[in-house]
Amino acid sequence: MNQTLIAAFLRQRAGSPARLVLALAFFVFPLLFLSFARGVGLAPLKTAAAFALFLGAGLIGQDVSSGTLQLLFARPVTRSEYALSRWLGAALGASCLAMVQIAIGVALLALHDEAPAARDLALFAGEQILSAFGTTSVLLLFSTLLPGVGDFLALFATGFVGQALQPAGALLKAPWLTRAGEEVGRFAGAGLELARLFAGGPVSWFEVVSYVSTVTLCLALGIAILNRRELSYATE
Amino acid sequence: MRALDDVSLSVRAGEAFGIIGPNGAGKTTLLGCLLGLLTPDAGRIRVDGHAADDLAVRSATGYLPERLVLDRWMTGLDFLEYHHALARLDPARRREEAAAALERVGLAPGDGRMAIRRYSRGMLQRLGLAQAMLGEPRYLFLDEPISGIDPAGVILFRRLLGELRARGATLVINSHQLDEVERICDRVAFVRGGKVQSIETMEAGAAAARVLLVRWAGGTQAEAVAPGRLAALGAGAQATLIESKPPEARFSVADDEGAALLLQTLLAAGVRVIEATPEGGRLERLFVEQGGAAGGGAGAGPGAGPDPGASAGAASPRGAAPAGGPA
Repeated sequence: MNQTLIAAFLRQRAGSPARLVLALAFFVFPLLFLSFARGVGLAPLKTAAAFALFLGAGLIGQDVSSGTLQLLFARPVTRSEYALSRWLGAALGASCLAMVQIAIGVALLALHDEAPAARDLALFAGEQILSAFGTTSVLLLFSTLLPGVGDFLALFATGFVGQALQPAGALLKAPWLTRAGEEVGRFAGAGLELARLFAGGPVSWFEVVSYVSTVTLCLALGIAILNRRELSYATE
Repeated sequence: MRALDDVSLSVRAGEAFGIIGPNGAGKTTLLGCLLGLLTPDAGRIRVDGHAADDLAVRSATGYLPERLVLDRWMTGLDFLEYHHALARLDPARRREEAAAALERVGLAPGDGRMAIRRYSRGMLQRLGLAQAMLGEPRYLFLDEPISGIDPAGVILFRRLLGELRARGATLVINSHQLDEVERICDRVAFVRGGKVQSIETMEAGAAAARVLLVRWAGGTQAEAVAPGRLAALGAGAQATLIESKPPEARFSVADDEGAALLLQTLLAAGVRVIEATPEGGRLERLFVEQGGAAGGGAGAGPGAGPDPGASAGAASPRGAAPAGGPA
């Protein structure tokens, strides 16, 4: 990991008005909802994936499209270091936003005497962090394949396909189609429902392995693709 | 499609090496390979015994790309500090060295606090050179370094490149500015159709041979300006008469001193010289001789032939086999 790259990434994102407006909207509105609604718990604060999308869209593709990578890779920076730093920057940024939002949300809930138990809070916060890291890793893979913010669109399309396949499978009485939809959806929204996972019964190691392998595979494939990518404005 | 084919060249340590050729010849692709940004399908590139993309090489490399796409959201100073950090230079000296680099290329401290998106083309080029020179790199790859620069900037760049050479840096310059390449470089490779057609040794600056076009006032000086007389006068001044078309003639002179001596001799002999203009430099003549002026890259000149791998605009290094020697 390269701290310079992570810091530069976060500053770059902070300088984008469109991203800031979207992130701010997803930060403020759930809190507003929480301050008026009763008995909803922390559910409205499942926003880490959205933060990851707003921060991470164009994770690598945007730099490839803008042409800044030629200069960057003339420096003693490996491509894997660059990719992992971008991933970590986006995931950490999204996690931090989510944690601050959760902290404010818990304060608001406490005002209504609805503060969650410490265990529930820890599991929810963990879920949000895992969701931020998972979503960003899928974005990274798409971003090494697509220019600009094509990764965002690809992730959105993948999630949509996953959602569409499930009812289609039920309609056509094709369990395999439903299962395929679940898996595609699981890939697009890479995360772990820790509250359900640790609800008391046996832990579903399939879900844990599925999450870890999705993240690992996306990062490894993304780096492999980036390593093979030719960088020259002569190719434009 | 082959952008480079059978390229073999060696750049010596401390040398200024130019790469010239028509558009689409493969110059930028060659530079991309030398920097390790592009990987040739065959052959190898070594920089001081290391692979071109070795981090040790990159730590000692400065690069100024032709299309300078910088992080526009940063200020100039931020950008230099960012590259200072990426180059893994001493953090304690970061701010100081970034400010010094800015000053070195003639940008004011106020310019350094300005967002890069507000920079003019010339300011961007200066900032680009400042980042390339950070940390006094041993190898500098400059792609069209003076494109978009005003005359004062050209003079500054010339001086800075001279300083870099003086401290032993190895320069690889890709440029269409033939006179500048001739001034700066020790040797020049002519690239055409993805191939290195020839490598010429330059005699830099005032020592370079050139053609002088001399024009005189018309009148009754038939005897003074007769071709035979001009040739004799030229020979006396160690110049060679190339062509005489009254009221002008073209002489080949060895250097600036030779040009001065020729003009002195002509005036003393009663030739009423009203104008003496140096024609294109030696490199320009060589470029024309190499067919570079015919335009187009691969496929536009002799040797290009029907080879589909050597077509104009070829850019992928597929099939390229550059083999740079130790720099």
